[in-house]
Amino acid sequence: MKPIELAPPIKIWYKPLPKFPKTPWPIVDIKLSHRDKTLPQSVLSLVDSGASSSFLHMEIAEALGFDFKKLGVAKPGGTSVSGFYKTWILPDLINVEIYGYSFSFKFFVIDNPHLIWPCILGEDTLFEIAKLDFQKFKGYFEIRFRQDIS
Amino acid sequence: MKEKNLAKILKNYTSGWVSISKDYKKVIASGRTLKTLLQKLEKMGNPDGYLMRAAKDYSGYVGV
Repeated sequence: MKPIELAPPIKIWYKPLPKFPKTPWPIVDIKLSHRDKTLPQSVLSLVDSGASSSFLHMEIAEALGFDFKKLGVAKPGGTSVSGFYKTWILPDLINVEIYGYSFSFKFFVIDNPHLIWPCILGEDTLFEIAKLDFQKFKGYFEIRFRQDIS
Repeated sequence: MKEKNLAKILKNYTSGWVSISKDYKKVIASGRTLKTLLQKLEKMGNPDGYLMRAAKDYSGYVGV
């Protein structure tokens, strides 16, 4: 198998959040757009190797122009540690700009307005287009984007 | 680049949405809904920053 060339590493520090700041999180900032809608600011997104799919918060999807009344009823999406959940699959790909690289990704939207993350990047998006090297004991992780697709 | 500590600037925001300054030093604006927050940001001339959810506790997250 031909080796895949990777871009130089981008180092990103874990970010502490309230209540348990000693447990920081792997978070990246991404720009999101869909057709003529672009969010005016970057979105802080969780990098989640435990999520097989990638998710947007309902309100983010609405701000990108999706109308949930037109998307119909949320369908059973799968199982999480908190039980079964329902999702919508967004009918269009979402444009994601991450540290100067641009991609189009499929996103799910969980039928839960209390989701605490604006965006969750799982195995089907970020992990497909980059090598991630988590070094939590050092307080950072590194992203190396694939050169063959970016 | 150093660690960006969101714990300090988000500690007084427990629900809704916030916009965090590019240097991670302050909350630029907040809103109960994202729509409200985006309207506030537009009135401010859409300054650079980051959109984030505000929550009482992020520690309980273990997958979707």
